[in-house]
Amino acid sequence: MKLHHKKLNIPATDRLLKPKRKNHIFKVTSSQSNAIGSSMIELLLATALTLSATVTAAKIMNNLYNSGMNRRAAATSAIDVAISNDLAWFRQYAVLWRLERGPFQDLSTDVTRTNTYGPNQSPESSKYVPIHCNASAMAIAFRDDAANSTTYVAPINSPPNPVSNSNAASPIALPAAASGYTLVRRIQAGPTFGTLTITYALSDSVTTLFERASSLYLPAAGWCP
Amino acid sequence: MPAESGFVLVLVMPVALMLILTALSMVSRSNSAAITSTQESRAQAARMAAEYGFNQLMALVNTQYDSLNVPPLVFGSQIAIANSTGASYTVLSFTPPTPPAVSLCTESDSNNADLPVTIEGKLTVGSTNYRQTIIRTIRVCAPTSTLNTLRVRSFK
Repeated sequence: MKLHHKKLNIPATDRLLKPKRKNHIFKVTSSQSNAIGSSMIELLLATALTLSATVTAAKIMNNLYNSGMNRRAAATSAIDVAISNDLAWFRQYAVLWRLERGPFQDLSTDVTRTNTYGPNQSPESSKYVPIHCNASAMAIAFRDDAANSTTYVAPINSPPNPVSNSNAASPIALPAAASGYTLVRRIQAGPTFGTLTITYALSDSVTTLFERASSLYLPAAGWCP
Repeated sequence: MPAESGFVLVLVMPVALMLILTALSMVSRSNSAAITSTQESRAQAARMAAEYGFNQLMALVNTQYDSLNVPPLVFGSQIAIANSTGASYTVLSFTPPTPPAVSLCTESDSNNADLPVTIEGKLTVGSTNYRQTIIRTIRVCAPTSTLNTLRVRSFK
């Protein structure tokens, strides 16, 4: 058997470094092969990653806003409702305060009922004379009665928040949505006889955020001579 | 297969874009809800200012005003509210009742006269004014027949 050596011609250029092949992602055309473009699997994987990143980014943004502006908005609404409920009780209490007729008639005179001189008293205006028909005394009397739990009769019932019988600030309960804030209320005699000024102050752990003043007219003042 | 990859791009990219836009719109809606809530809060503050003015007005009718409008109740002027930054009220209209129409005060309120009033509350935040107007009718009577003074019995 005779061996024939096959002559191998190895060109010298083959020993040179060949240029590295560059694979361009997304550079896919119909004339290119899979070897230099992106495969179907790569594209699907990239797409899945893109979608996953998009969904994650949306969730992060949503959580960011929820923990920021929306949380503050929820707290603002909760605080508004707390103020409205608190004021509503005072309005109802003021309408019935010291009336001879109505739910307060079952209470003792020295608690809340308005003193009366009798139906045949003359002049007409002196039939009903509320106590303390002068200066700020009526407002103070109202505040003292409102702070007295023995005056909480149906349909008024108990106030949603404790009432102080002094100028001291009383805390207003806030729901969990407004956690981190402190709301207090102060009751003082108003600038005009027969009115009270109810001031609400909201603060966080650092500073006072706002103060809002509301006014309350006492219908009992309309019975003063 | 490469041609199919191109199709995948064409089909998937719009879906991805749609998802991005959906996410952005969700955030935008949430943002709008927050802004709306803040503005409602300011509207409530303006309403509180109007209520403040209304209560003061009733007290002034009891104490200063008479059926001849002497001294005249302040209306058309903006009155700032103490301890309430940016809040004020204005009595917009006032129609004094004619003296003979105001009956003497009695136990009954059936003969009380109507006194329609309109009060505007305003909250100023920066250069923006938030206004709330309330319209009420005060029921008044005269405590004596000799003076023109009035007493507020109720309102509706």
